[in-house]
Amino acid sequence: MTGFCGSARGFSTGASRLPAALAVVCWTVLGLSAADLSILPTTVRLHSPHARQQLLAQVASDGVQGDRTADAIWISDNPEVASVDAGGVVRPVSDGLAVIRAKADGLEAALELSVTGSGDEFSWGFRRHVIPVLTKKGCNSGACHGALAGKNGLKLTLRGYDPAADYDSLTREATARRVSLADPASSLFLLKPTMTIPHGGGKRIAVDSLEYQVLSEWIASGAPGLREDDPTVVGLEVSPREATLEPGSSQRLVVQAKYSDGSLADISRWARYSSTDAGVAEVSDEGVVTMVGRGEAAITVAYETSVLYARLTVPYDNEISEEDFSRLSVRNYIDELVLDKLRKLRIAPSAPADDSAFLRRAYLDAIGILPTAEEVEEFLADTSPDKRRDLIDSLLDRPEYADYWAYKWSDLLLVSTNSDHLNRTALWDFYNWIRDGVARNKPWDRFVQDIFASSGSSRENGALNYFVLHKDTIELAENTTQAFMGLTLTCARCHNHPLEKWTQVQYYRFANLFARIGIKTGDEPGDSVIFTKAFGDVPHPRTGRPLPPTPLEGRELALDSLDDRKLHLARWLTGEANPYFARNIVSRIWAGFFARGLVEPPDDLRATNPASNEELFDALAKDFVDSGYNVKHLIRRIMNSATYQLSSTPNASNQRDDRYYSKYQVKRLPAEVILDAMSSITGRESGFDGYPEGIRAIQLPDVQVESQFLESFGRPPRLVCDFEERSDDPSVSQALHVINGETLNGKLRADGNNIASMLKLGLSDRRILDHLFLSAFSRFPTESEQETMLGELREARAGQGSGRSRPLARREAVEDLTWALLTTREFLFNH
Amino acid sequence: MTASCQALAESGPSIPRNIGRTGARSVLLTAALLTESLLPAAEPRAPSYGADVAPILQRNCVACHSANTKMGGLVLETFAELENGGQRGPAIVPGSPEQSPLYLMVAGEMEPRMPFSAGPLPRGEVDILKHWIAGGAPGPGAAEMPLVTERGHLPRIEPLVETRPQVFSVAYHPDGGLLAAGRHGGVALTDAGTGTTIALLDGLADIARAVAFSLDGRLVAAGGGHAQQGGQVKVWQLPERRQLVTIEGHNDTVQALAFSPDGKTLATASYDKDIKLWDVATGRELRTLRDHIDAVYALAYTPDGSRLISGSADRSVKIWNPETGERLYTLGDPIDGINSIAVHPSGTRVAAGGYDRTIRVWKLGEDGGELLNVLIAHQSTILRIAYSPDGEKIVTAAADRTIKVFDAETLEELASLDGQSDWVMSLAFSPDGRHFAAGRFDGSLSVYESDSYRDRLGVAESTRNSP
Repeated sequence: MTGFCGSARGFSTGASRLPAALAVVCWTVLGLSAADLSILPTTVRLHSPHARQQLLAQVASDGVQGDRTADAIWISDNPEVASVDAGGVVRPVSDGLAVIRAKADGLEAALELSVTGSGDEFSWGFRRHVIPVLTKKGCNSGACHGALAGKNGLKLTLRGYDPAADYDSLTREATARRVSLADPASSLFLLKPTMTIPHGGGKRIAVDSLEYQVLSEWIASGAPGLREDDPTVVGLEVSPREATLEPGSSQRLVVQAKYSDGSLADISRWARYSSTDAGVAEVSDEGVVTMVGRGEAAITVAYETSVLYARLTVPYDNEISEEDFSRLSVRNYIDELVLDKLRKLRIAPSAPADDSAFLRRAYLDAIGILPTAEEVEEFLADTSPDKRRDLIDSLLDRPEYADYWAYKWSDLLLVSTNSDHLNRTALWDFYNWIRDGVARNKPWDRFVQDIFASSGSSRENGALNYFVLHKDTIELAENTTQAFMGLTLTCARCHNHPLEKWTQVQYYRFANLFARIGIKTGDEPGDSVIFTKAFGDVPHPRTGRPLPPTPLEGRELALDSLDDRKLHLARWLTGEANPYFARNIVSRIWAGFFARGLVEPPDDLRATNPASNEELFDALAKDFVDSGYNVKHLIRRIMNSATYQLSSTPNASNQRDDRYYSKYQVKRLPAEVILDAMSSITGRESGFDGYPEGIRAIQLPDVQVESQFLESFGRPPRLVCDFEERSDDPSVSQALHVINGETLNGKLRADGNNIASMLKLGLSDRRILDHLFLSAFSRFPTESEQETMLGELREARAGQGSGRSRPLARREAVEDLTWALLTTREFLFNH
Repeated sequence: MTASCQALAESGPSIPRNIGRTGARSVLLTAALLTESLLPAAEPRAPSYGADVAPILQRNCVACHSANTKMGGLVLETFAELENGGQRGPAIVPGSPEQSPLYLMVAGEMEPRMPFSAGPLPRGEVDILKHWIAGGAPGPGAAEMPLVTERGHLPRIEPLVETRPQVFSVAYHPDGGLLAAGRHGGVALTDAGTGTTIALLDGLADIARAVAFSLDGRLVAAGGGHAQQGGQVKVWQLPERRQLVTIEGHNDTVQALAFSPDGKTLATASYDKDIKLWDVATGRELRTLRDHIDAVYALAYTPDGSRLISGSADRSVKIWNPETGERLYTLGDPIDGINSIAVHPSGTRVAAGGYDRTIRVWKLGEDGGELLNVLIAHQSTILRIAYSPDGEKIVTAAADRTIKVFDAETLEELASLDGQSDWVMSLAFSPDGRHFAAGRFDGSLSVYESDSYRDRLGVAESTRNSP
């Protein structure tokens, strides 16, 4: 149904009424076959004598699509208006409406399109045609003339971000060396890329190509420059936007640019393509995709500063029954959307996790500690059907919840004395504000407004230390987009972002919002006063002039406006008009529960970094906004989903799945959590210089606390706002710390630790073993584990093979047993 | 087969003969390597410079190793230049590929890998170079055509719109009544009072980027040439308008030229980084002044003819003794390329402007210059700078489409003629200082009165702003 009605929609948007005869054809075809043929794109308008549009004949059968463009028979019902060639390319003949038909696989589809301006005077435009040719051919890439210093005398702006500068370089600089209006064919601009004379960059353009035609005719028509009313690209459409395809099949992509004057153009030829997963799909320079493997790949399409992607899928070669899918019982929308994706890809979910696995996982992910042996036993014995839901509720009310999430947000906000900007007083003020907000479950928008919508003394409002710790306006602006929107703007500081839609102009408009944030020293050490300056701007580096301060996609403030720029920013940043705000924090929270983010890395929300489950991401963000930016609400939603409660044990079909949430993906515990867990199990605190006794690693407000253990397990230095600053990469030093390090051995050997207590209390070997397993793994030992380990303990008790006293031997044996448990993957990982 | 034919063949549908042969050769060679021991009799012909090696160099190397660009000091356009080697020494050691940087770099066995920042050569071509060197690197035989970089051609393209001839350079005749305007193909002799073209001196290759009269007004010279293919200068005699001499010798466009005060010598500066001195009467080359490392855009004699001063894209102004060719010293203060220089009528100062938007004035000493004055004068590149004949004013034109007038002593801005209709490519004061002419990229020409800044030709609609 979808396919043919796609083309029917094309009629209705094709500006006129649908001829009755066609409607009959439409319904006849639908009546005859389950397969559909449709013509893409569904809206086509040809606006100039040079316009052309590649059409696609797309067949759909049982949810699987196929590109029949090359095999289809193409017919124009109105050849006096528009012609179509054998490859499906339409060209204008005269103004009017034309119906184009495609016939393939015994099916037929039709599309009505409009032709206007077919008799207009036409000349190629510099911004609209010449720059895209240069970009597509790589002339203005970073390796060629787009390098900062240019190449061999010619300097162009990277991927054409500054057309005005490029226009001057090409037409006027170096005494009009490159373009000759009087004798176009003698232009270096044509001689070099065609290799008519030697060219360091090789032959880029053939004389018989459309590209050559664009460049040469542009010169011949006097090399017209930029005009104020040049239409600009306001969006892209790619066809097909999404498709499930046969393995090994090819699919041509067609890209249309939508312009500010309402016109449409086929720019497939000059768009740039890349595949997010070359093992699944490869894409040629011309936008033809070949499905080389199974799974899902996004094909990124970039044109000028617009980007979008097409999502193409080849389901895995798995036979999966409905029963397999039903293992994931739907509890909320998360499960529905995960299941949709798994069905589409033919991946079966793992079985639900047992109580032990769930309990341990829930404690670690929600509050960063292990359940005690008593808590485990109590939970396992509980027969209430709602015990998991109740447990989640109780965890979120515990003080450890505030410790754990305050630590996460301290990573995000770079709370640290590592620069000279925050002293201990300021550090505590900042941290206490964060922890207080988490403890009170302050809505995330209000939390961020505390920073941006206030001023005054940082001693009174600890949030204001956010401004103190950044060294300048530029760093402040860039960290703000990273921390609260998941966007890296840094590239746009010097040129238009090569992988994103942000331009240098947008960058400096945005940066100027921060220009009037004043900081002065307060009344006491650690106090800073944040105020609004009456003057100050961040100038655009090339013109030296400031631009009107404007949120990335928000309303601009006049340069002379008296409105507080920071407040203007705060309103936009935390408002619903800013889609990145909710998605950013949702992505970060989700990544705390699943080893892999909805996007990867979780703080990269670029348009070209598609989510593994876009619909799920959208739904979570909407839920979060609807809940009033309620962090606990979102966490509850996630933890209560059947998806979160799946086992980490894979099945045959999801062994290699690492992104569609068909199982709970195993992940290493954070450095601080490991250390705290070792402390709690051994009963021996770590002790940190300058902090009160009993403070856990996760409660530290600062990362400038000496700990080789934390460092080697990837504690982030909190220097730059970057999700990947925290490392979970394995290292030799970690192995040494665990196997041989003083940290663990010290805890095991310490006087009066839990081991000593257990022995003192005279617990049986069996009881000791249970206790240790429950504490470390949240489960009882298996029979074979019992057998082996009880044997060891028995031997120790007998004092065999040792000259030492029995109690000492037993203590050593329990220490060894504990050591053995705490060095396993089962302990170090969340699963 | 020449390079240009080859390039044409490459861009057309036919198979380029040379490439075809080279390809066949590499297949032969590869086959030979594989079967060497089996078929000792079937020894292939050793690669020759003209047929095998030169085409490879031409296609892949000379874009950077031309007489013009000479990266690393190495030129690969001719066999002789290849033998000369570069800054790092010889490029080849005949008989020993493993000691020849040319081979080692294309084979990826020596840094930097060549071709620089492009894909490696096909294995077959690397083998040809190896075998040619191993075979003693024989030069071109007597029967072989020497390889020369010839002007490549594209099919003629007719302009679709009629455009006014653009003005790239202007100069005043010493009597003040006549202007020479450099344009595509030659010079338009123009009535300075009315702007009417009196005569065209044509036949110059490409654009007249520079034009100059001799002090006695008997000669006018224009510098042109095709980018990357060769410079050309033509000198005409006045009032006969007879072409006296055509001078060719630069490897790239002539960007500036100046007659010596005695009118006997013509100095030219080129995009090829060289300055050359020529005997005007015969067109014979007298000397090459080589020290700039980028295009030389500006050139002027001091009034007494004792010094020649040049300005270059290499961010420097250099002072030369034209008698000896000795470079006396360098003024290295600019932070970006120089487009234009002007010598003060006293001959004791030079002013320069360029990409850093800054006017700099130096006092010229015997052994060095002293920076007297610096002003960031414009919002974009300064294109032209000129002193008034009394030395009291400096006029600049810039890519921000303004002309500005400054007090030469203080660089105080006296006037700004904003809203120029296009880039002002050229500026010249009349000999009496009462006017200055400005020629623009769009072909318009204005003659401004120096006191009122009114355009006596009535062309300019620019607005005048005095700060």
